[in-house]
Amino acid sequence: MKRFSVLLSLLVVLSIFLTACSGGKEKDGKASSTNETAGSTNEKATITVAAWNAAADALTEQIAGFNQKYPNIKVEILRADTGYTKVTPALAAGTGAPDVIQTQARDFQAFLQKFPDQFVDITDKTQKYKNDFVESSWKSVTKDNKVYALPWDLGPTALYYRIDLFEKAGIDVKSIQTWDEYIEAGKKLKEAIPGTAMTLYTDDFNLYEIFLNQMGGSYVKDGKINVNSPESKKALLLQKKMKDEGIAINVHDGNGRIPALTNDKVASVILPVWYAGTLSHSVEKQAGKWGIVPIPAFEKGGNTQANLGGSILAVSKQSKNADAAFKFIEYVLTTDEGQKIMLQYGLFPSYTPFYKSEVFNTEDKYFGMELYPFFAKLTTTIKGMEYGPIMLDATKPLKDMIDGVLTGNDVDKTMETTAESISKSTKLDVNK
Amino acid sequence: MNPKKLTPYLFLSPFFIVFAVFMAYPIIESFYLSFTSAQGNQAEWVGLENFKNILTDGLFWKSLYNVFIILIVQVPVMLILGIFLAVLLNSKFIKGKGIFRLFIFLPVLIDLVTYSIVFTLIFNEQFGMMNYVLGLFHIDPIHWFSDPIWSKVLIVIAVTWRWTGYNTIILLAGITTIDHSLYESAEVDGANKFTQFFKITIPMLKPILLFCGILSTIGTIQLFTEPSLLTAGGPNNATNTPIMYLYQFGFQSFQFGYASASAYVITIIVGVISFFQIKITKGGKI
Repeated sequence: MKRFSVLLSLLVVLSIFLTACSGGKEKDGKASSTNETAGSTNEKATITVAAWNAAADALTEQIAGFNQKYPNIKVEILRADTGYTKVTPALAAGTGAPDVIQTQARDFQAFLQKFPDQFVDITDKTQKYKNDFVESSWKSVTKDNKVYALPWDLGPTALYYRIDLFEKAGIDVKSIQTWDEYIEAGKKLKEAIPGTAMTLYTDDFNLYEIFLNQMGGSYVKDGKINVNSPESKKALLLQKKMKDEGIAINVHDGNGRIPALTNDKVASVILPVWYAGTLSHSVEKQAGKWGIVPIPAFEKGGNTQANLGGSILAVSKQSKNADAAFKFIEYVLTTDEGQKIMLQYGLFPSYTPFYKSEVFNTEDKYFGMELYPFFAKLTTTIKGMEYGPIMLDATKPLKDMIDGVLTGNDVDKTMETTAESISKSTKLDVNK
Repeated sequence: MNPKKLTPYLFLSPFFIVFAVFMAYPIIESFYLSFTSAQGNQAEWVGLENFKNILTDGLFWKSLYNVFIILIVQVPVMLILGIFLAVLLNSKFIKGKGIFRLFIFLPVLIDLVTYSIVFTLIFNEQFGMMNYVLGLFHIDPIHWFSDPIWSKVLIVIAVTWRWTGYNTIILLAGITTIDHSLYESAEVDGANKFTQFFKITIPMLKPILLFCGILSTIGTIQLFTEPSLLTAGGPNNATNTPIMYLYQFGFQSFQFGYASASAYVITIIVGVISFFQIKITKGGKI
């Protein structure tokens, strides 16, 4: 009798559990069936937009302007993190994803690969904007000639330098045309101002990616892993040289940059346009002390432009209001009103018609120059980079590669093991 | 069926439901996933391939090696410190014991993220307080974050700071349960305080020490927050841990199958170690 009642109660528990499960499934079914009936603008719709940090702030401020145009579409911003932890479970589960999703431009191909059928094909709707965006920015949102997202911001890179410290060390910034000359100037600076380094780097592969992009190198070439390319080797050796010559210090992460800059420990940084905003907010006291020039070239007269970062906005296939969701990203990314707010948050547009607007061409008080037109000139020869679908898997191996090379491991061998480890998790071949 | 007999099971059912949904289901599902290539929202059966790849991955072994080095140093240091503090807190000559107990236990209550950030500031290589203080004694600045050995030391310091208090309180509870007559008779026999400590306190604490030892061992193998926030596993993976390894595959590359498989490998390792700990100490029998 006792045993029977135990069995019975277990059955009760099990049946409750099972009904709970099947209840969930029913909801699933409903969600996917309503997918087809996308809401039109006249209908009331609510859309959720997942974005992070300053990008989320910018989008929050967009809502008022957007609602003047589309009063029936209610927008909610979901604050996500750069690690996508709020978005991916929903994409994997096939339910509960936000309508609009922000990803880093370099990660989006990996998203398309790992979550096929989760993003709305917007090729037809974006045809008319083909020439309005910087050409290289389409690469990361296109797969098999179909467009799955709109490019958002770009990260044209420049050399930010301390005018006063350069003067003190007797360095003429115009004389720095190549990276070799930059390193020489760094040595001079170290002698003139002990304790101050020419530049800094962080525990990631930002500097490497800038160098790689500048040379026209890429992570993937013809569908094969390309991190063992000659360009890659050159990029690694340059960063290693900077470290070995003692002109670049490791500050580990973005939080480490600020004290280094505030305390005059670093005389220049190699970073994209978005760092202008951080400088003017976080090191307010150094206003007027910073100048900006294009980055040095690898050889005299070579390419001085590179891109680092930038993100995209995509519409989720799970969205019940895919049309409304597209209207939102169209408004924020392809209108002057939308891009004006983006610019206030330091997000440099890949949407080029905005470059002619008045806001874009105003003088920046902190730098004492027309900041954005300067950076717009640094987007003309940026080379479109093939990230391939590997970036979510490659982040850690790439970090390890740089760490390894900087600590003195053999470059060729390190590149080879990195390529193999990425190949193991992505199942792509390695370029020989 | 007698409804009276069913009642206890009905009262128990909330636990069983929660257990089934949040514990049993994930355990079974991840076991299944570990045999698939689950990635994003796709999955294919791949048999033992994930396990093969994990066991042949140098990075996985390196992360295990790291936690064992940290474990071998950190757990004994912490337990010795814990016993020492517990005995002190239990001694008769200390006044205001409540306050001391509170302060020793306080680090456990502090949020992991908060204290990790404070530690990054204190141990900052260029501007940190620690290197400044060492400088006062003419000690060269220590590369807490960029030297493979010192970064491990940093993790040991951080973990010890946070968890010593927790173990102290548990050991203190153990000490207070020791029958006082043992000490009295020892005193009559002429044993001094040291002999009493080594011949009575330590042996009587054996089961508690085993408990603390196993918990700390499991905790150290599952180390995540401190290395993740303090050193990000660096430099050159010198402080990478198995859980960081798992996390990277599960939540940065979204290779759920591979991550599940590594979770099972780690679980098996923890199980084996705990088994030997119990065997060697004979289950903590006094």
